[in-house]
Amino acid sequence: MFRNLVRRQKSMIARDFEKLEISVPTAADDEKHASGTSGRPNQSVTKPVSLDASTGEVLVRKSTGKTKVRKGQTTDEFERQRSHFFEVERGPVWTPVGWMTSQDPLLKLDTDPSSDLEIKQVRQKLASHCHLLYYRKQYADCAGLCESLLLRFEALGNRKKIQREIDELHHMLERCRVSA
Amino acid sequence: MSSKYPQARILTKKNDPLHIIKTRKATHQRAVTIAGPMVRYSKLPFRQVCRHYNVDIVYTPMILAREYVRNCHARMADFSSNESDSPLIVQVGVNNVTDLLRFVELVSPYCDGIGINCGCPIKEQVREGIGSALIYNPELLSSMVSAVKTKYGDKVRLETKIRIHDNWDQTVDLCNQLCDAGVDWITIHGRTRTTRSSEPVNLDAIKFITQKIKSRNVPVIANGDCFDMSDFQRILDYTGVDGVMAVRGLLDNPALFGGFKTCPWGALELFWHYTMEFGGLPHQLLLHHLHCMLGSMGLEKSLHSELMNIKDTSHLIDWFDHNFVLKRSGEQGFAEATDIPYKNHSKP
Repeated sequence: MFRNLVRRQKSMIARDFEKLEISVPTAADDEKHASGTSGRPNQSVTKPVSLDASTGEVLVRKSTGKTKVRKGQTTDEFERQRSHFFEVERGPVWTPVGWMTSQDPLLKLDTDPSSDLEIKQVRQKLASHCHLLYYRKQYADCAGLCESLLLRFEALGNRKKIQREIDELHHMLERCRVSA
Repeated sequence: MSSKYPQARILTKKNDPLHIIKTRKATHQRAVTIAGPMVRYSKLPFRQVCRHYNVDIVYTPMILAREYVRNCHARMADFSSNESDSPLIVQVGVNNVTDLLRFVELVSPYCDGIGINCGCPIKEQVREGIGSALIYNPELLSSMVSAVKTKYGDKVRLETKIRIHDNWDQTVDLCNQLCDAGVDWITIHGRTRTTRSSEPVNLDAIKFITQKIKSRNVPVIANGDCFDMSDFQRILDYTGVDGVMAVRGLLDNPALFGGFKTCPWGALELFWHYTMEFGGLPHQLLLHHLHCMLGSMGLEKSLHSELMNIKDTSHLIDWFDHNFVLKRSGEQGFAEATDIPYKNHSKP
């Protein structure tokens, strides 16, 4: 409860800051730095104002010239991200040569809860498997994978958004059937 | 420092970028060669191609610390790597100490150094106080460098890539402050925040700054207008820097540090190979790389127009196989050709 109160207060403070007519300093405000600019001022060079050093909350300028609070990240939230990064994601995306052929992409799709076809990167990764097989001229395997993916892609809600991806799978499937 | 999670990657003579910068002359009879960060383009497949052609250290594109430490989708999209992707510097766009320290904690186990981007002139970033805004904010930049070096010491290498000021003395002041803060090396792009890339890089400025901070014993790398090995040598000789970083030159010709005047066909075959093997490179990125490389090779104009109209990767593969001999890994002569092996056309 106390934590919620603090959070609410912080967001109120942040809102108030946005309303305030505070000008974020720029390099042009600094006489020493503004000198010798050969007639090219540095007015748009923002010097962010630190609002909360413990969370990284800063005040910056928008294109309109108004100020904007870039919200901080609490220690708890960073801890959540850190543990997700190291324990769930297992670090950055790791792709040694051969990684795509060492696993069945469809099996991963069915067993890994983070493999959500609504996410563009997930679909892109699956299409990459098809591209690799197509590039390697493994046409029978490529056709099989394209067929399976087409069934799943075509069942997705917002088909219009991914029509181009569906069209490409159809193209590869047709070409593979001719070449296999 | 928490021991529950992976710690910064151990630096050895093989992957410590500072050691490499300092010893390349003795071990390879030449100065260090660096493939710099390119917004969007320095992804893993391209980095791997560069490594085939005498590049010692390679950078990722700038990754925004703020997004990386807060959002797993940003992490998925922004950074991929593997065990052969070393020595690697991850470049970061950042405007506060907290985000930077958190970013370093997540990324340092998977790279060999971190570089703070203090050169990006894009106004959206500059408004946020990121990129070239930092050269006008030496207090903040120094405090970020100092925070990382105080926490990690020699376990994490930290570089800053800066642009020059109109008043070079201001750049010298900035460099001295960075040296005081413990920066491991400084890369200087010889243009101001507002200089267009069509204007030549200012080597006199780089020379002036390098001479002024020589006594600090912090290596300086020159960046800007390195398009072939004659540029590389000219920049070294003129400025007295410790090494040269190429960026745009490598985009057109990733083999430039290998002594190739134009992109060899073999580099393009390698790029296809890695792009397909690693997966996940969006079509538009793949297309842009191929456009740059083929431009360097002098591809027939009509074919170039056709290339730019190809809408997806599978059609791109079809187009390459229709027009050229595109060898795959394992085929005899893979990655060895220099000229474009046209199938159906002959270059006039």
